[in-house]
Amino acid sequence: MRLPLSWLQEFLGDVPLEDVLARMDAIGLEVEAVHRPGDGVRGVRTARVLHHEPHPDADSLRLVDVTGDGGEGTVRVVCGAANFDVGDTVLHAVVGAEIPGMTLEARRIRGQVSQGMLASPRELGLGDDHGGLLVLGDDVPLGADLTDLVPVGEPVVEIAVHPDRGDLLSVRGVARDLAAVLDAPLRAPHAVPAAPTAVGVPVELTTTGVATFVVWSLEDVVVRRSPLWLRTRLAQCGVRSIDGVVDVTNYVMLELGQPLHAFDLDRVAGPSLRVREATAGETLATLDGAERALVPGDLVIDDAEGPASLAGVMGGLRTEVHAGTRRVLLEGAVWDPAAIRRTSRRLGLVSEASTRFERRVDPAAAGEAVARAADLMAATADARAVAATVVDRAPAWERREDVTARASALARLIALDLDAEAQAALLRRGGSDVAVAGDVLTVRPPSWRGDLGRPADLAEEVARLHGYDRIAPVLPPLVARGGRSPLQRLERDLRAAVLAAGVDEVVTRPFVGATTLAGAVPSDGRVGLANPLAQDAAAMRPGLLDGLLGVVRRNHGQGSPGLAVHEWGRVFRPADDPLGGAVDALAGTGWRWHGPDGAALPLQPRALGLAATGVRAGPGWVDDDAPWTVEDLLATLDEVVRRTGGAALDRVPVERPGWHPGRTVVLHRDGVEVGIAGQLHPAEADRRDLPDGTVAAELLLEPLLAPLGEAGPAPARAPVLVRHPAVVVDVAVVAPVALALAEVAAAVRAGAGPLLDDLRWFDEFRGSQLPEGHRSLGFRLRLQDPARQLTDADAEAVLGAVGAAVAGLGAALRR
Amino acid sequence: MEGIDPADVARLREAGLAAFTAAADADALEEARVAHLGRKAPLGALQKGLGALDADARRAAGALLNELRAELTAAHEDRRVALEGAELAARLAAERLDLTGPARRPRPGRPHLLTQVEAEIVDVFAGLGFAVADGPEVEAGRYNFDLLNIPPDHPARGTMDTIYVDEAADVVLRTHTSPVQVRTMLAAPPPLAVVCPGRVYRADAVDATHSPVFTQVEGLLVAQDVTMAHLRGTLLAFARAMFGPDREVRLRPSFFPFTEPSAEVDVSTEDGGWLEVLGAGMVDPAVLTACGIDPDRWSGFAFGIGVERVAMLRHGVRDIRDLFDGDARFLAAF
Repeated sequence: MRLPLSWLQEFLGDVPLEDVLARMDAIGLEVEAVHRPGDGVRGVRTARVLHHEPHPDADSLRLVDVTGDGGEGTVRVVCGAANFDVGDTVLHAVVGAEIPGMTLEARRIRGQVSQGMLASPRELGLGDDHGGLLVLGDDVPLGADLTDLVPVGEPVVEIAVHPDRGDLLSVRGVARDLAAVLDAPLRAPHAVPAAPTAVGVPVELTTTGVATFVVWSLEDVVVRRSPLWLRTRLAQCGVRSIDGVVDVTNYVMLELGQPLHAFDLDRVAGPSLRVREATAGETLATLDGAERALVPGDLVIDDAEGPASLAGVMGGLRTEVHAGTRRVLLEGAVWDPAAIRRTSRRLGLVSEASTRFERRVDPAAAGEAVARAADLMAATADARAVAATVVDRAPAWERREDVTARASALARLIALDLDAEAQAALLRRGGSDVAVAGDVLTVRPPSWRGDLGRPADLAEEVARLHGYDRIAPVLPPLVARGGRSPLQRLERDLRAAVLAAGVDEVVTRPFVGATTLAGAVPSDGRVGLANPLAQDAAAMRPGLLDGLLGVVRRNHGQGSPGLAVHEWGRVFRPADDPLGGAVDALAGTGWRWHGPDGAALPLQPRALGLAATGVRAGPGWVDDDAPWTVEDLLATLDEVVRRTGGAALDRVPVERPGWHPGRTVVLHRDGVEVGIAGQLHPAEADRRDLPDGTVAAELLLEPLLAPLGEAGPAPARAPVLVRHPAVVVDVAVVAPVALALAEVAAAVRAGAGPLLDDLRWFDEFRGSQLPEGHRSLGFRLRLQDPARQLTDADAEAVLGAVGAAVAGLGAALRR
Repeated sequence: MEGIDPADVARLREAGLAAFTAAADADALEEARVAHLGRKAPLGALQKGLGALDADARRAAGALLNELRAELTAAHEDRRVALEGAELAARLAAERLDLTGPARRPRPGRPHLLTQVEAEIVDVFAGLGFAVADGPEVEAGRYNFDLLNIPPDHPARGTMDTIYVDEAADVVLRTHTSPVQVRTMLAAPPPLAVVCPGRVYRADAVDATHSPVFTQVEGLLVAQDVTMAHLRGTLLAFARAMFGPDREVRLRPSFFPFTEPSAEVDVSTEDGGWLEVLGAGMVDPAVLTACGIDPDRWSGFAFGIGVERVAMLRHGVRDIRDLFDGDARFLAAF
């Protein structure tokens, strides 16, 4: 909403701009900008066109003679516009004049000297219209300076209006609110004529969607261009000037907040009007030329031939006012906000009128607005009001009750020391009728305030008028046990573990397109979006890897020698996705989310994703040329898992699309897949413009965290520090290549029994000395017993047991 | 046999002292020791021969030779100490490092700016007694809208503003973390104090100031006699913790469907201006009622903080896309 200062001052008297701005923010009128359209315009004066002829050397230019200083004499100007004729009054920026962006001088244009220029509205900052000159009516004196005629360059305050305050979508509405806060009188600057006594066009209302319906019949209308003052105000408010009829309907809407519509009365069949709900299959051509398909629930105004206007949204083309209009039917009505909102939303058609009706207009102001418009049209279009029809209804949506509230309760809520009388005084300033009985307020809000219906609304209004800034800051008492739960603290600890591994954290947009790299527990299940913002963002991510690989690609493209990134976030699958069963098996079903009716929402477990490529650290860092490998990611995940208090996950080699068949494992807990780690398949890396050797991993957290409950993991137990020296034994196990290291190690561990303190794999050997298809794996066993010093016999016994255990796998111990 | 010729003793002394002095390293010194103090050295032979002398001569010669041995032993020891000192000094000189240059570091990972700011905000409220609550990002429209006093035909529910997963079933990407407040209120009776951090979604195309996904920390406190003074006090504590101890907060009347009274909350800047940071208000009685809480008995306040906004204001981030694109140069800055 744009508010020219001079217009506000018509209602408020001469309040300075600074006072207006200072109060607006404090009362919830959000000032977005202060414009000064036409600021800096100097030396522009009115002039009459005396003569024009084509430029001898340019088809698109004219030589124009206009009146000079004081309306006397003749000045020649070269002009590119053609929307004027001899006798028109135009605006002449004389030599020495200033308009935004230039100072004018006598200038030769294609050989002809131009004494200044004739100006378009846009050149003067008075609108966007650049199609021709600003042509004025006969109501202005010749030779007058533009700034003496209209307040060009004055401040125009633009405010944002909250959706519950439709009453602020007008100059008077804002002035009224300011007057209430300033405790100043609101002026009534414009007397309006009484309605003609003759009964006008018959009106029938067959819907409850309308509260008030007013039409006046105007005759002797001459449609012509609007006077300068009116055009200026509209331009300041960003509204395009049409003619002296339409402009007035817009002007009154801006002034009083009541949208109006002007029909050409000679085009209204009957003439009679019927207001009704549309039926299915009907259509209506609206003023913008579009053919609108109507549905039940839309409100239409019929004449005898059918739909003539889409009520509250846009008028109909068939009954439009035009240059030859002689009689006007001026309509002002109050429509059901919900109905207008539905129609406007469905058609994607937002007009100045629908914006106001959606936010509720003052039902008491419709008649006044029509009268004000008729009065203005008497001047702008010679209109003469001859008859009027007024129908008032009180539909349920407009019926409003008095609000009762305990003043002490309001004062407590807003923490302001105001008794009943003080609150009543504030509310009265805002236009309410208030009765006080002890502590009880009975409030009848003013007709324009649809938002005051409950005690809480009154509390806000009292606080607003008294000043939010008078509410003192006080810390609330502790009301409940707060802070992070143990499980939430664990999550933070897990984040630290990944950071300690040298992996940067990223946050990516969780949308994916059609193709994704499947991570843990892959499936085709997608949580699609009904109204995606882009085709490559048509579904929620089923896993974290695509976002991470996108980050890797972006940085690789910028020449990064290498990086590792991770993200914590939810992944999304349909409620019946196989992933659900996998998580359920370990975590129960408590991690699933449901709607209010118990309906399952899509699965959205938390997960951790990792991706890395290139060198780990780079120049200046330790190990500056070591590359990121799958082992790095596995080690990182191992530490995360360790901090959840659980046993290490089992690694199972796997072949999956997009992954390197020999360098990928899925991670199992109790035989259930909870993660994956590996190197991208060279073809996949190539397809994604990623460097060969890029590695990635994903771990579902729900199966690790949910079983812990809010209490988090059990406290770690302190180890017994054995004081007897340990016995260290190295063994080599010759095993088939296909036998996984993890299986061999598990057998060694099992065979070694309770004396084993630590087991490390330190060597792998392949060669012709070994049987075909075998490898030798070196392990270092550290044996100890808290109670005694171990002997060679103990070591021998352990080795014997280890030999037996690996033999069970088809492997052999080599001493 | 007569005594020992003092000239021989003097010669042995000369030769021994000269050999020790000439030894340039530990090996040469050892060689010299064996040659001059060893069992087969001339001194040793002389001492061995003392037994053949008569008692007086033996006493005199023995004293002379013992004196010589002690003198040579001391000379050897001096030389040994000197050589070791020189060796250590040489090693220390060789080991010299220039530590004034850039130190090579282990490369730590860095937490994302949004994570840091979110954690910091949550910590502030955790310190004020708020618990931390979590909820789903794909959410039922009833929790995201209806129970928050946003009726079905409200403009915010249109596809221009809200991203839908399923329009018919009214399943949305939550537009705020307020549904977590709803779930909290439905799950347990007051008094309640929670903050709800998490990702939220709006149907905004990506540009320098808009993102279809962003991060909120919303808060809710419901108890007896909760007032707007408590709201302002809580937010003042937040503003000072996040922006500096001299900051003030300003409440301006505003409108949200789920609060009444409602306020936009500004935080003062160092140069005396105000920055709009968050929205807040007293929980609308309709919301309390919808969530099974008697508004005549309980009151509460709620607030919603945009983590991106705080991060951008506090750290001078100019383009919101930088927060979601993962550029390593950006990540390395925080």
